[in-house]
Amino acid sequence: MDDLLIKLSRCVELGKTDKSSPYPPDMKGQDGADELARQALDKGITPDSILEEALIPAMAIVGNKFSNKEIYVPQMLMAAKAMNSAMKHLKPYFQSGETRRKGKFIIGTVSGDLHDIGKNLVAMMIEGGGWEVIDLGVDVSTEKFLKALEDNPGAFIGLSALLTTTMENMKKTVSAVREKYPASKILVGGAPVTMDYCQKIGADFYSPDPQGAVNYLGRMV
Amino acid sequence: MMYETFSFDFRQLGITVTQLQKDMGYRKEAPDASVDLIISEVLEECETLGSIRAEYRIFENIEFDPLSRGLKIENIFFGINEIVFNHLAGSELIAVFLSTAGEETAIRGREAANAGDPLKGFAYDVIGNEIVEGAAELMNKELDKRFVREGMNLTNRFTPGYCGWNVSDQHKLFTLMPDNFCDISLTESALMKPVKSISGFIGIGREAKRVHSVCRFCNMKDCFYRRP
Ligand code: B1M
Repeated sequence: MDDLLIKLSRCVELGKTDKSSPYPPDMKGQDGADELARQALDKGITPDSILEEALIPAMAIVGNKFSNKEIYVPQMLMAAKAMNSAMKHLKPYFQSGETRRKGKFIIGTVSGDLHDIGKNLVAMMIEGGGWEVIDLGVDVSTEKFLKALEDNPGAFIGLSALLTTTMENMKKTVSAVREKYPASKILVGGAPVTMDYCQKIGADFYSPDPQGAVNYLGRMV
Repeated sequence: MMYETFSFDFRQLGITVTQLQKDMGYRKEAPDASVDLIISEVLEECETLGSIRAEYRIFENIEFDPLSRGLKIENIFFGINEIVFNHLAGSELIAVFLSTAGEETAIRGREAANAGDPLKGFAYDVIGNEIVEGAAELMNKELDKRFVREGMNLTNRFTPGYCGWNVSDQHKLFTLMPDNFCDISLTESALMKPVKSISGFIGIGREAKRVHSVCRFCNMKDCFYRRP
C-alpha cells in the first residue's frame, strides 16, 4: 500500500485532523488527515483506494477498540473528526458518482425521545464504514421514517432510544416499516434495548455499540 | 406542605476536570492533554450558565405496602419495587424532587457539534449530566441540614426508571408537583424536558440510611458512569 495511505490511515485512527491539530502530541506540526487526503488525490491515488484502503480500515480499528473498551468516546469522536476532514476532499467524487458508497443508512432517535449522543456516534461510525448516512435527528415519527425510505429505496434503517418508555415506540415504527417495506433491514440500539427486545418487535439486528452495527451492515453487502 | 426551591450558580457545584474525565470513561489512564483542554474550555464557558435549579416537596401522607413492594403518596401508588422499597421503607416522610441543568448545555453542545467539533459537543453533554446531579446533591445537602436538626436522616435519591422501578411512574410523580415545577415538563412518553433533568424520591426518617453508592444495586454492570 502507498505510504501516503498508511500515514492517512494512522492519522484517522489517532484523530490527527490536520497540521494545526495538537493531538496526538508526538505528531505535532505534521500533516494530518486533511492534508494527506489532498496529497493522495493529487498523487493520483483513486478516491476509492483512499476510502477502502485508508479511511474505512482506520475507522474499523477505532470502532473495534471502542467495543473492546480500549478507547473511550472522546477518541472515537476525534477519529471521526479526522475522517471527516479527509472525506471533504472525496465529496466531489461521491457527487459525480465516480466513487460510490456501500449503500444508504437512515438513522433516527424514535418518536418521543430526544437523546442524541448515542445515535450521533452510531451515525458517525457508520459513515466512517463507507455508508451514506441520512440522519433524521431526534423524536422521529414513524411517518418520517417511512418517507425517508420512500425517498431512498433499499436503504437500511436504524432506530435508537434511551428509555424503556420511548423504546416502545420502536415497536410501532418497526411494524409500520415491515408492513410497507417487508424486505427492509432494521437495526435497533440504545441503553435499554436488548437482543430479546429486538427479536420481540421483529427488528433484524441489535447491537450494543456502533461497531456491531457497522459489521452487520458490512455483512449485508 | 413543606417545599423549597433552589437556583444554583455553576461555580457552587464544584465540578472538576477529574470528574468529567471519569464521566467520559477515563478511570485508570488520564486522557490526552487536548481532551483536558476542551474540558477546561467548556468548564470555563459554563461559568455564566443560569437556570440550574432543584426543588423538593415533603409529603407526610405516605404508606408502604410490603406485599406489592409499593408506596402510596397522597394515595397515589408507586410501584417502586424490591430494591427501592427496601431502602425507603420505614421512612416517615418522602421528599419528591426535581432537578435540572436547563437547556443551555444541550444547545451549546449541539452548536459545537454542528460547527464540526463533536468532542466539544460531547463535553457539553457530559457536563450537563454533572450539573443536574450536582444540583440535586446540593439540594440534598440543604435537606439534610434541615432534618438533621430534628434528629432525622435521609436515604439516597431514588429515581423512576432505575432498579426495576418503571420510568412511566414519572407521570404520577409529576402529579405531586405543581405545573412547570423547575420549568420541567413531561412528555407522553415520560421524558422530561429539558433532557438534562432528573426526578425522584428521598426517604426521611430516624431509621433512614444513605449508602455509599447506589450503583451496586443497578444491573448495568458495564455502565461507564458506575461508581464503586
Ligand atoms: C441503530 O443501531 C444502534 C446501535 C447501537 C446504538 C444505537 C442504535 N443507539 C445507541 N447505541 C449504542 O451506541 C452508543 C455508543 O456506544 C450507545 O448510546 P447511548 O446513548 O446508550 O450512550 C451514550 C453515548 C452515553 N450514555 C449516556 O449518556 C447515558 C448514560 C446513563 C448513565 C444516563 C445518564 C448519563 C443520564 N440520565 Co439516565 N442515564 C442512563 C444511562 C445508563 C447507561 N449506562 O447507558 C439511563 C439511560 N437513564 C435512565 C433513566 C431511568 C433516567 N435517566 C435520566 C436522566 C439522566 C441524566 C440527565 C442524569 C443523564 C442524561 C443522559 C443523556 N444522554 O442526556 C432520567 C430521564 C431524563 C429525562 N429527560 O427524562 C431518568 C428517567 C431517571 C429519572 N427519573 O430522573 C435509565 C433508562 C432505563 C429505563 N428504565 O428507561 C438508564 C439506562 C440508567 C439505568 N441504569 O437504568 C449505545 O447504546
